Amino acid sequence: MGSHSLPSASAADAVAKLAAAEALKSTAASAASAPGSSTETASGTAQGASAAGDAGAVTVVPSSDTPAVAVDPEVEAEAYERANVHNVYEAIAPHFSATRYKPWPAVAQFLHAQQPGYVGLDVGCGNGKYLGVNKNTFMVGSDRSANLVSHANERVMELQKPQQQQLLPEAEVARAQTGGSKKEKKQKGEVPQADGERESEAPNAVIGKETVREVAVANDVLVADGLSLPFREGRADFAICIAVIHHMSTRARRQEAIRQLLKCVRPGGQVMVYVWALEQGESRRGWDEGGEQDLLVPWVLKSQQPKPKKEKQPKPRKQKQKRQQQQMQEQEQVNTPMQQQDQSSSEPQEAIAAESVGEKEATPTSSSTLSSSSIPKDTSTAIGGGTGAGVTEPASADADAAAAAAAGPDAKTDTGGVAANADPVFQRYYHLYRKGELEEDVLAARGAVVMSGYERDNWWVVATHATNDDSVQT
Amino acid sequence: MKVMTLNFLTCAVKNCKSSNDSFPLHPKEAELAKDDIEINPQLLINVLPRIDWAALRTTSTELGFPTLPEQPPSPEDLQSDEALLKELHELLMETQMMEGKLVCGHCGHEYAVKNGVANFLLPSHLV
Repeated sequence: MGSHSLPSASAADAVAKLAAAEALKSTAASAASAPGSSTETASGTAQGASAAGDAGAVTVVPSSDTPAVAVDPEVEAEAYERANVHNVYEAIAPHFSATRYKPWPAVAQFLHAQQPGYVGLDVGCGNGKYLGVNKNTFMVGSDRSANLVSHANERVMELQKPQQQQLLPEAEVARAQTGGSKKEKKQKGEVPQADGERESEAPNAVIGKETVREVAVANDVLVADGLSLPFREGRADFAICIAVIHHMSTRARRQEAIRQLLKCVRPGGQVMVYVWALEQGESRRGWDEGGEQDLLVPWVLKSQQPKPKKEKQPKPRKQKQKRQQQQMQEQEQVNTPMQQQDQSSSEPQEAIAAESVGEKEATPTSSSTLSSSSIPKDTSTAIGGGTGAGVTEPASADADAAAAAAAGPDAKTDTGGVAANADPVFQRYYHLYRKGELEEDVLAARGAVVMSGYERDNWWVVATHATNDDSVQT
Repeated sequence: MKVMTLNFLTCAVKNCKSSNDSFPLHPKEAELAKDDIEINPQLLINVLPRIDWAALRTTSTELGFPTLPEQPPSPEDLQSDEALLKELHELLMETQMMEGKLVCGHCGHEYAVKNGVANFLLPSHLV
């Protein structure tokens, strides 16, 4: 269609219009790049913890709704997750976010394998650490925690800021221009900043030399529940869901979450799911095969930020481990898991739990400190049509580090008992996946396993639709 | 909330998914802003076929921009026409809906957009 569209006329108008809009909203624009204050949350939680790192402001997890009156198991499951997952992340968002910066290798690899122009989803994006890893894709991150999303939004704004370093040799600038916009190029010939992220893929280009450079970053974020996603079905090229579904308290809900993810991607589109493993023989947590799978894992909210770790300074895990190993041991005791259930005969592995697992004794405590833990119960099992609202959580990409962070450097938190130091402890519900379980869930969600693996205490899987009929747009 | 993103969103209510009226969501009382983002031609050209052009036209019009042509430009058009590429970039990537609401044309539910972030959490009765 030679006479293509976007007649300059209308286009020009559009630009003018935008300019006007810009003038009008200049303030809004700047607001956007500023640390967003979060929008309200459904559960109306700890709003006190806004953007910056005022973790100290948060003290207790509001356990607002839902009296523990048993009724619909699904409703109960939601309530449980609200108290033991959603509210917790809302409250620890700043601290949590400050500890998340480095992408898991398997995830980064998956993202880099996506083609230029692909549209991807990051369900449970947390602070958005996976947005922008592959700069040639358009990614929309979602998370149930409005506070975490506001952090993610800051990241998006930061990522899309025009880079100021120009150092492209003339020649290169010239070459770059062949493909299109020159101005942009010139003023911001950016330099490949190589912090942590590797731009391995050599995208198949469409515009010759352009591909060599990393150019604009296109990402967006929104607040949504993983079981009620606002994404059009079958439109995304790929999706990731990292360290999220292990926070869902019934197997039916976890499988439904995977099903929802699959629905979002086109035929042939791939979904990567990453969850905490039960088998953590290498770690000092003491969890391993045969242990309890449904646990409450404490997060100690340091009253003072552990240190301004930023994304820029990825910290080698090993080092960290070494350093904090001791503390971690103490921090990570698992407390009360949820209890089991009888009702559903169906999920053996989910059931039961009551004892603590960790290497240390269970901290009696924490539970007493947090109101949240008191609420739920009995939700652990299944049933539930798997839908419902609530869940999808955070993107804690690595739960591991999370815990580590909890034990932050300056933390000499002690163990066992809660409180010697005033740092509040929050319990997050986790379902630790045993070997093979994630694949089972994919199949139950009517998906097919493309590949799967284990990486640092986590199981991951790349799934696609069971019936493969590639077509659509590739 | 980028205009681009709107092209991939629908109502979060399950019963609305199958309705044609739930897409695209309709901006209401929208306050726009324009970010300054470096253009990525490779991304744009490859992303073009993934865009629902008819929906984009609707969104664009509803946001107050001039009507887009009926047919989307071809990749060749984009490669050879720098101005066109830039316009598309401005509309899809740089235009942000900062405040307002997104309304489902099927159930009428309104999702709030604040500070550039849309909130799709549903009240319990809609889940």
